[in-house]
Amino acid sequence: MTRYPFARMDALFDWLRAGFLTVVRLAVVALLLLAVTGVCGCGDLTPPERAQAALTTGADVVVAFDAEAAERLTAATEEALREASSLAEWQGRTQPWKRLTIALSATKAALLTAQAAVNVWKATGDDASFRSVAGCLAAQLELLYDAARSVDLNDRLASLDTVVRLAAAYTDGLCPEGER
Amino acid sequence: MKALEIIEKVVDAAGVIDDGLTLIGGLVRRIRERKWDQVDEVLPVSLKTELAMAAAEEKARAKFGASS
Repeated sequence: MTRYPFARMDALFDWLRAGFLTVVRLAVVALLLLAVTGVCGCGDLTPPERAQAALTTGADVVVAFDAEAAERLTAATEEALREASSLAEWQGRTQPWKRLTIALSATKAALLTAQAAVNVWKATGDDASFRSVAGCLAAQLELLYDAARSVDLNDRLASLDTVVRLAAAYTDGLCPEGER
Repeated sequence: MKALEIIEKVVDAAGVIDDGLTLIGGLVRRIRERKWDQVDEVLPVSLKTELAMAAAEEKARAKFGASS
């Protein structure tokens, strides 16, 4: 076995990455709390405007996550294409990525639905529909979180987890079955 | 660990940092400008994963063809 002076570099990079992600996560959480609670000079934001801030941030996180996931999906499906001997085998190997793609599409739809509900809230002052829809958004984000974990996108989960918690903070209860 | 692997990991770690900073930077800018776009203005019409998966499926069907 070749001895290499930086044999512990793997551990060092893992440590650096984990440390940085913790900082990113804390920073994102702090900024979200500032934006949503109004401590940051955003105190004049109305409740629906704060919900809008949370939704917009959620969409930002999903867009960033989508870009990274697409790169890894391409690499994984190409590797599967080299190794598989049939279409069925390829489909089996790439099934977790298909699941992630579907989860991301459904999350996008849930965000758009929540946006429509916020617009109703802004126009009528009634937050009932938004709080109902927020439960489904939170549930969908959890499905996305699980799908991302199954394809080893663990290093990208921190900000996603934050958005899940943020959406959950707005919910009155569970998303009814069949509405995800 | 080979030198190339180290370089690869440095680049990878830098990507994580860059993504995180971009996200935080965008959030700071939104807070400062108090500009919270509607979700449909932030989300693309087609997600990159949707496009990548569709392209991958097309490649797979082209490779295995009618025999599968």
